[in-house]
Amino acid sequence: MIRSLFSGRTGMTGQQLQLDTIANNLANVNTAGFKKSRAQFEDLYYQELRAMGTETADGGQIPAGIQVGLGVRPTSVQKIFTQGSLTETGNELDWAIEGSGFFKVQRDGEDYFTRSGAFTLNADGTIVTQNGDRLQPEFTVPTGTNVITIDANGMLTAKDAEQNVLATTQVTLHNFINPGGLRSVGGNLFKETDASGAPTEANPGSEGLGTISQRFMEVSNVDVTEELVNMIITQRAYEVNSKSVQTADKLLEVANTLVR
Amino acid sequence: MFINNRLGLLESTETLLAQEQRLNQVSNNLANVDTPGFKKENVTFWEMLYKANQNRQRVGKALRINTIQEQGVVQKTDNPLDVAISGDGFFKVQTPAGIRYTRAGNFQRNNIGQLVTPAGYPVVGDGGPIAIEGQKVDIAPDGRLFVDGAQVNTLAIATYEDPRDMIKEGENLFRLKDNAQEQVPLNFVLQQGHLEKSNVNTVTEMTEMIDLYRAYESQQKAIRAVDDLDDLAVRRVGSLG
Repeated sequence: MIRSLFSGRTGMTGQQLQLDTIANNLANVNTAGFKKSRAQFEDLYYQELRAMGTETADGGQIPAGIQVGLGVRPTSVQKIFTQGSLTETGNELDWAIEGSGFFKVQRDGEDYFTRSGAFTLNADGTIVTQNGDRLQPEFTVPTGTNVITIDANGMLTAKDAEQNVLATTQVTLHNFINPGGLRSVGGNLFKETDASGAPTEANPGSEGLGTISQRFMEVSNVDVTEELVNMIITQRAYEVNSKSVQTADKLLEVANTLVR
Repeated sequence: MFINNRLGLLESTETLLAQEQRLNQVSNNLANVDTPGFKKENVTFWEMLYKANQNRQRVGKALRINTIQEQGVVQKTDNPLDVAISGDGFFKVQTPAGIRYTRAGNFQRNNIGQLVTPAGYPVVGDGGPIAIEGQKVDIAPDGRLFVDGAQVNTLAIATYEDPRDMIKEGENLFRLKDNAQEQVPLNFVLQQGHLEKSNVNTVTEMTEMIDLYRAYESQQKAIRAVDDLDDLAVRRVGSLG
């Protein structure tokens, strides 16, 4: 009975974590380049009251033992890197990645990766994110630039008002063996970790990387319907686990009232 | 005359008191479910063998209160003087009784412009007490403090080697044991505009409460049974009809 009390507790705290994840997904339903998270659970240890396969007194073997589970435990809260839909903005520095890959930006000398292609120019004309992180490889548009175009393979061209080409550069994308292992640091940025593997750099459209669509933004890949359904499931699972706790309490009460 | 029974009563009473201690901890944790920087505590028991008389030993309960230093929930407050630590480490504050440590980052300015806790104790930086003579305060994730764009100090963040060296003192403060050394924490990130709240989980405390209540109830029944035996012995044994 005490075991069911604590199993019910692990169930409730597990569902709390699930709800935290769902709430974060819903809060970011409109964040450009956001990738939804999913909490994964695993069963906890089992207490073996009788081991299977042990020998019985008359030389036989026990075919099935007694194993009592002790509850649930979260194993991971993982980012799901499915493609978000693209929405047209008309802004020449809004670049959406269609396919896999990340832009590399630099902040305070450290490299970060992002799917959010909402770039802008800073006062020096360098291409930066909305927070001022510089796009790598760094590129500063020359003065007199009127139009910036970038094609699907990342070739950026800066032209002046008379359509003369002032400068070109190749924008590259980066891919990881395990994007789920990237560390989210907030601000739409990810950092490389041992789990994600080292990034491989290449031109968009080559080596499995996606292509760049200019004047489009990739919206968040959160599906509101899916999150709401998960929320209902989570709430019911929480309720059902609270029933385990309450029932364990009732059983203990009955045991205690055996003595008058 | 009822030596054996008395021992039973003694052990039951000790257990009742032990469960009450547990309830004290649970109540204190629940009362602080909203306190910034609060770290919950739980009670561990272990058996101690006492000598009751030359024939018998009895089992007693010894207890210790542990502080659980799990990370609390970090909440966004948008207050520029609120700082939350994600990871290991404590802020250092200077009190009249010496250096104390805290996780509660709800700081304020006192009348001479120093960064202080709500109780008025100055926060210690690597370059002494932190004086803010300006308008805009920025705190970088590694502790560097900028006033109006220029770095004036760095928040000092320290941690313990052995969790049992950090003793709770009240007022959201911890004290390091006398012979314990400070350590530089390995990984921490400071977040300005955020506040670390308590690490108390209501569900955990509630189930603890159910568990200890039922244990208390069982012990009470045991005392009742012992008393019934005494009653029988006193009133019935030896009566002739």
